[in-house]
Amino acid sequence: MTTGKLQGFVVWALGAKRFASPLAMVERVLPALAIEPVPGAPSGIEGIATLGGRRVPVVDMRLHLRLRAREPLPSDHLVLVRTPRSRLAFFVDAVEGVEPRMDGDTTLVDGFDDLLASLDPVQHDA
Amino acid sequence: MRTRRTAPIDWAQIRQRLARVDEALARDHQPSADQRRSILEARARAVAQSPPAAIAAGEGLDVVEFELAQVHYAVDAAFVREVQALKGLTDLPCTPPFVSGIINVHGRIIAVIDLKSLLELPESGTSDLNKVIILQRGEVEFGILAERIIGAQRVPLSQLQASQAGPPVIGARLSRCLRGVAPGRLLVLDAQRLMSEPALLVDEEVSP
Repeated sequence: MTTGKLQGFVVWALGAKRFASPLAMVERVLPALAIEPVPGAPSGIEGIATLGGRRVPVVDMRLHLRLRAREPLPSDHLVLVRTPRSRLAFFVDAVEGVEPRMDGDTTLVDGFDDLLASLDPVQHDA
Repeated sequence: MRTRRTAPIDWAQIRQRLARVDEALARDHQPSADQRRSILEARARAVAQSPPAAIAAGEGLDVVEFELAQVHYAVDAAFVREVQALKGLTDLPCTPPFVSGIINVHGRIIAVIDLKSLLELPESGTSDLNKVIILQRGEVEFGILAERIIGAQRVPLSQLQASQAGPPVIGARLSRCLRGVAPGRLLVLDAQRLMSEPALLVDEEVSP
């Protein structure tokens, strides 16, 4: 499946809030899984996930969105996003689906390059 | 005549209350910390390895996997326009039994099909058809009901066995719309054939 021309948004939830990320940026959604902690990593990085032999930084999206922190649960999901410059993942409570356009009560989350750049560099595979 | 004034519904507040109820339920029914860790670690091990060369090289089929009557099915992701929670299903009179009704999706009216009925799939206890996968091919679009969306994955074409390898007891319609069987007994439907299934061409008139 090509990602370049995909239109629409992946709608996901953290707590009672709904967010959406461009479908073209979302590479994969997986059930939540264990990640490796990174000693000395900034607080915005939860750890590293190894997916298909590649190491991907897992960003603390709750912290980024100023939501209450909690440990990942088996019922959570891991969203893997990819931009031309970076690849990262983040935990969400649920993925509601793919919709062609955003609702009024959904917040767009798409500045992944800026988000990663705002954190200290962590060793990962692009 | 007296009219009753009703306050507007505060959806944000309702969502917050539901989230609090979810959290309370989760607290009561959560696996122990050790069980949670063990589940998460098992999943991490399962996805950590590099994919087989055939999949990495792109010789695979991107599919959306879903569950229906305790059987896992998949449909070619290229035909999946969107996936939604099933909301506002309205009965439609004078339609075959496999048409569960219609839904309004962003202002478009879409027919919703029950594959269990259309493909004569075996029933297996009660089912909670609460998700709809909207398929589109050109001008043709309709939704299919699912009990659970498992996710998106790539099925290696080399491991897609001919439909004869499927369950021994399958109906003619399922057989016709089955592209093959992937490892883990995942029944991969042929979306193109499914969307051209003759039974879907509804042409019934009702006398006034």
